[in-house]
Amino acid sequence: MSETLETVFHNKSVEEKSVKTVTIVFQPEGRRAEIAHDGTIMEAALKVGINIVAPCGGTGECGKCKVEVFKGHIRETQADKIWLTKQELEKGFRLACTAKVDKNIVVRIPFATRLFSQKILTSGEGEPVELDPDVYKFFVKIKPPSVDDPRGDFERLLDTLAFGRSDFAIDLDLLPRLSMKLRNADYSGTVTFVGYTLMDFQPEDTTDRQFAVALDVGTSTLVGTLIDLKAGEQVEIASRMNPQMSFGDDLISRIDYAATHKLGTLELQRRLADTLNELILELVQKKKISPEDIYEVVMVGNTVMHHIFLKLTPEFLGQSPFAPTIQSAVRMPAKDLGLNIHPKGQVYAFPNIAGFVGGDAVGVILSSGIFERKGAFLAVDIGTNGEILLSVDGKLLTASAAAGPAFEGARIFQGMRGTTGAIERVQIENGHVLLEVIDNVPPCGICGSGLIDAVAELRRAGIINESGRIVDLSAAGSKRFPELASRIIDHSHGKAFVLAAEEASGIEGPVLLTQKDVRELQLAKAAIATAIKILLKEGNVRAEALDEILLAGGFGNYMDRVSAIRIGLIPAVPVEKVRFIGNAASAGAQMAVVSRAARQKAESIARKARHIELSVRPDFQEEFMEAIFFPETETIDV
Amino acid sequence: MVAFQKIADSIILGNAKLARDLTEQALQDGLSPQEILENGLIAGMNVVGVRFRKNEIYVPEVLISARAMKAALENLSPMLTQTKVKPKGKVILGTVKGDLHDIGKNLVGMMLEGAGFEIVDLGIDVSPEKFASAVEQENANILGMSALLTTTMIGMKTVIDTLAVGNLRDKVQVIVGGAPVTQHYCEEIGADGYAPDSASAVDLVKALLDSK
Repeated sequence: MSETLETVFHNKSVEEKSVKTVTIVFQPEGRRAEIAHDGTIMEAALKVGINIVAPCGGTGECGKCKVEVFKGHIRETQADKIWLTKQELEKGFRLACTAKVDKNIVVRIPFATRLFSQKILTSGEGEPVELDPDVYKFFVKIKPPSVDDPRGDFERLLDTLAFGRSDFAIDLDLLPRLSMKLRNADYSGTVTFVGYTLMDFQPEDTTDRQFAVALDVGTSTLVGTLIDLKAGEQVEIASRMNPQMSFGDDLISRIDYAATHKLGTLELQRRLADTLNELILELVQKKKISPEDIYEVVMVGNTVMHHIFLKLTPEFLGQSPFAPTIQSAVRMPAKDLGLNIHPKGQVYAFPNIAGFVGGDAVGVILSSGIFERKGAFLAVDIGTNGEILLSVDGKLLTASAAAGPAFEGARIFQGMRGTTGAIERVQIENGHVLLEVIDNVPPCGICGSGLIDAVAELRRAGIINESGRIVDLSAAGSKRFPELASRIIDHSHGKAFVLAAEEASGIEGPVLLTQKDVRELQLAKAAIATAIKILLKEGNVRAEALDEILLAGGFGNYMDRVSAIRIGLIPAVPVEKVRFIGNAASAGAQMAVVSRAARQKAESIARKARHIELSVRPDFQEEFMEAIFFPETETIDV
Repeated sequence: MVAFQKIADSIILGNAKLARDLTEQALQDGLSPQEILENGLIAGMNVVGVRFRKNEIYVPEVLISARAMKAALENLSPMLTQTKVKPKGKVILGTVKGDLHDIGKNLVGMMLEGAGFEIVDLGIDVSPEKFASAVEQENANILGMSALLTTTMIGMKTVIDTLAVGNLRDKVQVIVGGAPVTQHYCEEIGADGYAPDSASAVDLVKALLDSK
């Protein structure tokens, strides 16, 4: 009996020793777990019903259960050192399965580490992004104050969420309303945080209504993507013409307008904001939500568009040395820019690389992941202002090329954008001209991809020579394909080639490719090709050594790769090395919408990329003159 | 014997190799560098200029022709220097401060060179001071300034003012050009002449020198 007693007593003392517990608070849901001293974070999570991914079964062998210890310190384990980067370790990331907890800590579990988490992949390229937006909504039930517990409403709310940080702020417009709002809602409702600021309190559970918009502000086109932040999904997309087109179709004309008119920048900005609001309205109407459900707008654009968007004068981007006002990312209230979203909504504008290489290029680099891959990758975003990006084992070089709007159908005699009635494909077979027209209607004009095809095919048929001249086939004595010869006519813009005769066209008169069109295309493609050539030279990479050429931009996707090579727009590499990556700038913006880590990457890309200013290069003009020519090509016999 | 017309045609067509070969051959045939330049290269470039002005051809072709001319000139230049052909005049060229766009300015330079003028090219992003000191030192007849942007175009006036301050304005005739520049602007800032394109620039320079 006494022995038993003694045993019990002894056991009790042992238990007392081991019963020493520690508290772990999990974010963002604010759950608390008490576990034994030296238990693991994984155990604690399971205890309170938070499921962490652990493909290896919690043995430290897969590195998937990353969590962030942001209050308190946990010793690094051997497994941590294997699976986590130095930066992650410094930030307090640990593997949940091996992290032994010996004091109270607060842990944030990234969405990627949660078992239920959904990995999102924005349009194809790059690594899946873990859902960790800057906007968070939580539904909370707060204990009302009492005589025993007279904590302030704000503290009460934060304590309920148990964020474990002291640096939270409250929006100053919400502050005077907070007490009333909480009481009217019986201390139950949805809080919205943007960054570390409490922005809104809404009665009821509105956590399924948290949206953001990724905006791609192009010189010619605006594209907005609505993103459901809860699901981490792209839900709607809409586009508009940039209203600044009426001030000129290239960047210089916008700069000129802003610089030479009183309040010019503000006028350009207001027009832009008006159209962006229309676009946002279209997005929310499609999704049947309200503009107030949008908490954030993430913007990518070239540096000029970026400056105008933020009401900064682009004047100095138009003069050497092209220094922007700011290169870093900018965060500011959306209402200050005249954007109609949630009254407390924020704007995040991507960082810029240089005067003519902006956040859109950063977006392309980010979403294509080229800076994280070994090898030599060339990414080309073809637009009015083309961006050429080269990554050699992660070393980034950028250049910009003033291609002008020919690829968008502007300055082309019967050029049009890629809409109904535009010729988008041209093929010449056995002396016949085959056309593909958008929406299968009689052709009304030609868009960028059709223009490239037409010139490439006419080049192949020998109708356009190496220097770009339309050759008169009958004069050259060719009789094999009379149909082709008969299509060459005289026109006020020099010779012209009839793509669609009047009776087959959807307009009064035929659809033509004129000599001047060929010349415009030559200038545009030479600008891009020269930038590529100089960048490759600078990066010490031969074109043949490129692992891939990635074509970005709305237009790039519709272009025929063989035709692009044939006209010398991109270097002659095997066609399978050329890949379309869609609207990669917008994809980059979308990644930044859902992931704070992606924003950090974007900022690091903008800092690290080295910009090559082509116009000061002594070899620019010579290369440009060479690039005006079309490459030698195999020709079909006509 | 190589016909001058053939050389001219090679320039008009922009066939650099042919232009170089024909020039070489013409030299071997004993034609003087001066004749080849005048009757072959310049004659060809003149046709290019006229066609360009009439909108029959566009910038790429002018560039292609200029490139052919440059190739042919490489053969001729050493000999032209030897024979000490007296240039028709001396022209200082430059793109104004803040502006790096020089394709137009270079075209003007090539056309003028082809037309027998001596060119002092100050390059791009040229400060008013640099223009002024070139005017002071070079004893040139003409100063030509180019700008592509309205934002940099205003620098032309600064240059003219700087010349005036240094008492250099009378030493030289000032001509201006570039996309945003107009005859009106030329008069407004007190320049002596404006040309809308490189071919007209040659005519303008000739006319200004003749009127002196």
